[in-house]
Amino acid sequence: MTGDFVSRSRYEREKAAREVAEKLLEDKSRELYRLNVELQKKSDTLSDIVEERTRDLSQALDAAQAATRAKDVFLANMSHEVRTPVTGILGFAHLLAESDLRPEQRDLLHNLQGSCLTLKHIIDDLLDLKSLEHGMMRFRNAPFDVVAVIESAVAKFQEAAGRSGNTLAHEAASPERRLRMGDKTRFEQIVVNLLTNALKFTKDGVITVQSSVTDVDVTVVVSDTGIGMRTEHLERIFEDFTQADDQISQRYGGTGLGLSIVSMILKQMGGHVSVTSEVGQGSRFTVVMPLAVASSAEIRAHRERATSHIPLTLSGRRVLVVEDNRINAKVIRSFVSKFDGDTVLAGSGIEALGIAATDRFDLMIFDINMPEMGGVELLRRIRQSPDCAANAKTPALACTANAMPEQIALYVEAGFSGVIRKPFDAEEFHAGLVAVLGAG
Amino acid sequence: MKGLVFIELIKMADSALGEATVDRVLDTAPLKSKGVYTAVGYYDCAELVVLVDAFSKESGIARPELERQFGHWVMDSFASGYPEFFRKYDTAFGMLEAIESDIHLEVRKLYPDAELPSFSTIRHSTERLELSYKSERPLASFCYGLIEACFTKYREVASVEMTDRTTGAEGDAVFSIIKCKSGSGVQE
Ligand SMILES: Nc1ncnc2c1ncn2[C@@H]1O[C@H](COP(=O)(O)OP(=O)(O)O)[C@@H](O)[C@H]1O
Repeated sequence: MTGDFVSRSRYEREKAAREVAEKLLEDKSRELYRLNVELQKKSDTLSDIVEERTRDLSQALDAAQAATRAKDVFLANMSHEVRTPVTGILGFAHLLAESDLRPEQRDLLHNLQGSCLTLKHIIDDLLDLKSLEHGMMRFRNAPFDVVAVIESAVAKFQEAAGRSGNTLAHEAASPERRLRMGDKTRFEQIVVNLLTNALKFTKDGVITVQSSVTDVDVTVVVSDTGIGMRTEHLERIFEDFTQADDQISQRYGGTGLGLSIVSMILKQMGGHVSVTSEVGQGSRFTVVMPLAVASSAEIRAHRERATSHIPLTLSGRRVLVVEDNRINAKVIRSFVSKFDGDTVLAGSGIEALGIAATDRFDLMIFDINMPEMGGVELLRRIRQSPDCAANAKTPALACTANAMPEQIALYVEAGFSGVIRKPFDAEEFHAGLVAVLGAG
Repeated sequence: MKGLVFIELIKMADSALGEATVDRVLDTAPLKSKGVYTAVGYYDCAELVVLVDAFSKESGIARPELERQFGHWVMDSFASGYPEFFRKYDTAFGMLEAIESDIHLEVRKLYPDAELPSFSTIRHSTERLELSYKSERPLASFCYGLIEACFTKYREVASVEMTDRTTGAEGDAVFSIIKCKSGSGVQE
């Protein structure tokens, strides 16, 4: 046999092998085809499933967003509903306090005012939280004495500390460089919130506030020897409406807002808060705030601006007060007369339009939510109506319990020169007047 | 066993013994397949043993030695058929260690019913590797050849010592490998 030929048996074997291989291939292709069809079916159902899931998810998202909107609306309504009566209570309590009282009556009144202030603070907390969430909280930047603010806060809490058997002290590690640039009210709010918690969760213990400063920041540490917290709760306590556990609200009360406000204020200030705690041993909150040292130029500038404030008086001025709630109307009138102003009272927008057409005023204070014609509509008509031309330029203040940040922005846009938020105290009323008369 | 192995064995025999001898063996040996093999088919492993025996007789090369040469042959054709497999590993040790985890995994994807031997490895040091082979087929020497050829592929030098523990029909061997010289990667 030569190399050019193959044997018959090899030829037969190769042929047979080829046939087997072809059959195998054929079977494999069929198999592949079948699998491919199956795969196609699976991928079709898969896209159906994905579509369905996507639809479900977007529905869930819509529902969640609607719930959030509903929550915001509810919060706004609640805050309005509660603010209105609190305005009356606080206002009258304030006026009552300025009258002749027997010591025990004064004591009772004092308690009444205390409870009412607590209620007001809770509502203020809710509003602060909203402003912070919307990034609408504005921070002042003026020199203030950090040590003095802490000391006055500590002094305010001394009595409460004594009652719960606690000792409360402040240690200032660096008494120099205590004049810093920043927002005094927010700084105080942070210290007060931390102190409130320390006192609330400590009995017969020791509460210490330590402050220290560097050129760029101020650190405040509030430590207590109270009930402490479990590690797994530490991260959550800075969230809205969150308390370490459900029993806390039963035993200690509270809304779970204090710390979330602290942490949001700090976030907007560029500072931060941290906490260490041990159950049964106590807690330690450390707050670091970037507050620059106030330069002597800044201190001088602010002192001049402060003394340029003329003490406010409404003497000889006529004020149109429009308020449908009779109790609150009386409160506002009393405050106006405290500053020696004369009040003309209207119980509705319609009535006020008539009065504005015949009389000239130096200032107008309108409630916003009134039946038939609200404060915004009333102002628009007074500004436009030729009948009321005498008051076309009279500055107007909104006095309202609708105090959500977006609402306030709306009133300013409608032409009000300022807003007094209900409930208000004498100081806040004064601030409202100053804002308007300065602008007018 | 995969037909590919039969095809390779016949190719090797063709080149060593000539087609006429191979044809005669295939015509006369007791083979259920009648010597008709395709690379993609499956055939009784006993036929491979019969063929190895027959070729051993024809060539006068003892069976273990023939198996070992066949190991080299298969490794060469494997390397030219699947170069990407070899490029994945830098050294022969790396490749041998990957047989069980990577290569057999890939083989199973293509041929889910392949009956594969097991190769477990222990790396004693950078130079010393121990590989134990267990199979339903008594092909320890074939395995020996494969391992040796693997080092050639990576241009490495190693001493491979086989302890054959095969007693019955199943393969069982331990290979003690000491690398004497590192290579410069897989030879293309
Ligand atoms: N000093 C503290 N010691 C122990 N637990 C504290 C302390 N301060 C805060 N907490 C925990 O963190 C929770 C959230 O605090 P906060 O946001 O101020 O809300 P609230 O005090 O109104 O519940 C508290 O309910 C309490 O469980």
